[in-house]
Amino acid sequence: MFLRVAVLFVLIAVPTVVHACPGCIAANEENRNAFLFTTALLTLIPLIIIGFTVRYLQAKAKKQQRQDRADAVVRSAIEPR
Amino acid sequence: MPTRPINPESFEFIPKPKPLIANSVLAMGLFLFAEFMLFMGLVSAFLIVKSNAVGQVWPPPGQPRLPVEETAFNSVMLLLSGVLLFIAHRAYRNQSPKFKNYLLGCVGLGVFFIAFQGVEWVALIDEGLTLTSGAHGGFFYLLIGCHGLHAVFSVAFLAYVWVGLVRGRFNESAFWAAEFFWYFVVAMWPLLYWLVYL
Repeated sequence: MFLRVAVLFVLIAVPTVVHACPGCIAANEENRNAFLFTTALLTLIPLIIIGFTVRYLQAKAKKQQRQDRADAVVRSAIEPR
Repeated sequence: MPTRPINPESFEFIPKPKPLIANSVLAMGLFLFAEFMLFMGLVSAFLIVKSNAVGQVWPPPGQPRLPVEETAFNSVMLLLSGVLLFIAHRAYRNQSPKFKNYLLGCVGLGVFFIAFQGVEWVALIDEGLTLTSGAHGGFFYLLIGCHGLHAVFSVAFLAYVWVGLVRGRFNESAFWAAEFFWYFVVAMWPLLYWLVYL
């Protein structure tokens, strides 16, 4: 038991601080900003593109529905009863 | 269980709904979305490496300078091809036979762009800028080469669609798909030029 606790203490005490993200420890301001900017870029671009595509499809579907309704009115006026 | 006889006259003919986007255009859109993310990934890597350059000097000292003015001229040719493609599609919609000439002009300018890039690359390799000459060379060939590869395939696709349209084998959705691809190539270029050359 003592050995296990000692090993645990050693393991806790020995490692230095580890930074997972290079953006947190980047030496210069420019590099840090580049990390932040590119992270934001790669996160937001897909969302923006998907958002625009959905909006475009919605608008197009509405336009097509209006057109179909107008066509149906014209057809019913032309076709004999 | 007894089945009731079906009276065909009781059915109303319901036409199949028209798709919002043609399949070819949808497929091209998905492909280009993935390609756009690829380019953004490469651009991100480039920006991070550039920001880490010693003394914030880019290109690094001792590396060949890129041909900024010549490439600006080539960029204008590429943008012009995009305009020609737009005019070609309008002519096609108006059922004007001139669309063939405009589309051919666009393909010609695309080929010119690629050939010009090729000549530039040969000169740069002669000056010592290669994939392994450093981060500058590596990113230059990676980013501009990736764009060039897209330009080659896009021009080939445009030429293929041109033949199909002239022979009457393709319809407007094929034109749209090829056009979409070329617009992507044209639209990516100013960003790359600004980032890599300037």
